[in-house]
Amino acid sequence: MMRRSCLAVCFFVFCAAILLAGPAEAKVYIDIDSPTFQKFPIAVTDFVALGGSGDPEISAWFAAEMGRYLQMTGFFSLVDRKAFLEDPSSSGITADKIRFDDWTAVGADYLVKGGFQEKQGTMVAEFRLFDTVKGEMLVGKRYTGKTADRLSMIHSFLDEILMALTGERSPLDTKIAFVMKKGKESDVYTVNFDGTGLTRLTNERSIVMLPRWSPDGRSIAFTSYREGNPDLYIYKVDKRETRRITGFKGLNLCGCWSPDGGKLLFTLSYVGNEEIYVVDLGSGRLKRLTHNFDIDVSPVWSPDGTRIAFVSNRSGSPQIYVMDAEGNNPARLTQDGNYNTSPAWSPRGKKIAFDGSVDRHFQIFTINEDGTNLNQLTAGMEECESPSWSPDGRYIAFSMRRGDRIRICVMNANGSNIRVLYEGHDNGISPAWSPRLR
Amino acid sequence: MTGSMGIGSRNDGGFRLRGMLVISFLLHTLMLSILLAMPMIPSPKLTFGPTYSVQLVSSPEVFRPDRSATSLAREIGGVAREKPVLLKNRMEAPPPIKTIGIRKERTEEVEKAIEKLRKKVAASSAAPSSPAKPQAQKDVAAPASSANQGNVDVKMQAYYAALWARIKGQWALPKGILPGDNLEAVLHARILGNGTLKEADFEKRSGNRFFDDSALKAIKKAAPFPPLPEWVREGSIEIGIRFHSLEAR
Repeated sequence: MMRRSCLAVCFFVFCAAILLAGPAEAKVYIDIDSPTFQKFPIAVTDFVALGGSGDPEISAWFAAEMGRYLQMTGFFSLVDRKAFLEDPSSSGITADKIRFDDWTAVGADYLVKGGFQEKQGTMVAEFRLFDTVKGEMLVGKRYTGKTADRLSMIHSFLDEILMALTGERSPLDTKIAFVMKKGKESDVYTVNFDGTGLTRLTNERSIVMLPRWSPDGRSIAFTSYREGNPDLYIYKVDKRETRRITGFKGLNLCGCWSPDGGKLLFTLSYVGNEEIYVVDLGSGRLKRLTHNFDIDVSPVWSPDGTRIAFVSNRSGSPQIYVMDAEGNNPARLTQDGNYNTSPAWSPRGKKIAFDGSVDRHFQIFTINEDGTNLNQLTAGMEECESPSWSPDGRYIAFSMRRGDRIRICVMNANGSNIRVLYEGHDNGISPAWSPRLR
Repeated sequence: MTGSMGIGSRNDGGFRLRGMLVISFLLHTLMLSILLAMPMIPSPKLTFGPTYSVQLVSSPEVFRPDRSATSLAREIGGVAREKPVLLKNRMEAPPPIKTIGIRKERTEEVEKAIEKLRKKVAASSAAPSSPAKPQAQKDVAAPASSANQGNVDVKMQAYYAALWARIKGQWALPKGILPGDNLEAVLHARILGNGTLKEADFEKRSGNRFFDDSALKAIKKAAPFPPLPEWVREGSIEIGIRFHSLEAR
């Protein structure tokens, strides 16, 4: 009896299993590995005059500048105005007066609209960002200021758009320092991310090399020949004063500030060959990190300060190495190429940019900090050198040289969207990207 | 266990051994039943391996070739180019107005492909017997229908390929805004007979809201889809779409 009921239970379970298994339909999964568009398609319409009548030139100016700055980030492609279906006379700048289908039909995922009102030199401007697929406003702002300062309103709303769609502000609050040579003299200059605001900082009137921003953006360390020897100096940006840090015989080459700003990595050659040292800026205490008969230069800290990347020719050719912060356990990072130099550690970690020789031309590369995923970002006959990361790790500044024509350029960290910030026939080298300055 | 029983009590060993054998048989049957029933317990993530994976890359005539990151990376990674071409020129996504044209063409091509398949189905008398037969049933109960099943799978693939091309064609996500890690978002979508997107929601979020937003937006923009093939008996299909960030970083 017992046995039978047991058997019955088992049979029931078995049958149930088969019955259940029957209708269990396998779901099909489609895998999509890469987006077709690597930029957000966005449309910007002419701004409307809110108070009734307004200067049509300003109306177009807002749209043009907004579009220009969106493109500058490298994350947006502007939908051609000729494709717009919307009738500007009947549409408004609020969600209930926008036919979003008109915008999705022309391929715009996002839409920027706005309006302005000008009175006696004072400008009130409204900016709105819409998601055309969801049919809703993502962010809207009203700014009031002088008419002359209206570009700063564009900058502010650009940050709002980028925060909403990418989670990070634009690098418009940073500067790129570089060395500009005029005749036999050079100095440190800065330029903004949009190519404006070229400014001379130092007044060295001698050979200047390797400017490096402190993490708080208040100081720039560099190497200068002002007293005949390449010594290490720090320039205080707000006080406009320069202080010598080290003046050992031979090279005193600027390297990198520690993430807390308390120490400075640099290279000295007074022992007979180039070795990497760290100096504590508070106590002035010096510590030697490399002990090698070969050249060790260009040290940079990892963002967490636990490791140091540097260039050494201990394997016969200049290559990038990584060691711990105490100078122990050096390991070769770059295996390809016969001349790799100028390492720059991404502020977001994981990647190191450097320049390397390809067919006798220097190009910018990135490599993961574990030595994988080597990527050549630039190509061509120009010498692309001295990469420096933006503080958000999304862009890289570098110098581009061909003959006597020098450019300071920025590009997105994947090598796209190269833009020239400064171009000259004398010299513009060694760009260094500042931290965020506000 | 049976061994010790045998040594302990030889007299009625025969009977006990048989009893134990029966119990053992019952236990085994029970275990087997549980094992068979196991796949029916819904996994919380629902990312268990699909019984047939859609090989989409092998039908180039249905959609245009992928002109995205990999080919570009390869281009950049190769030897130095002869002309000093600024990379931005090559990175530009095609202007969206163009896309619409391309999308329409593609849709027409896909429609043609589906139409062709429909004719084929009509021609072969055996085909309509069991469309979209469940996989598990195929294995356990109806091995005879597997030939037809394969046929249907192939035909359905053309439709999946069309979905793939449409959704991928609408996916916009700039490089460089994602963290370095690989992300995966899995969405499910229900498509009605006339191609309308009934619902689309997340089965698994990637943890990065910008990535997730772009994935959901791609599906919504891709709708409406081509009408389902008429031999799909159910009024709608449910599919999963997995978005990966591997090449979008």
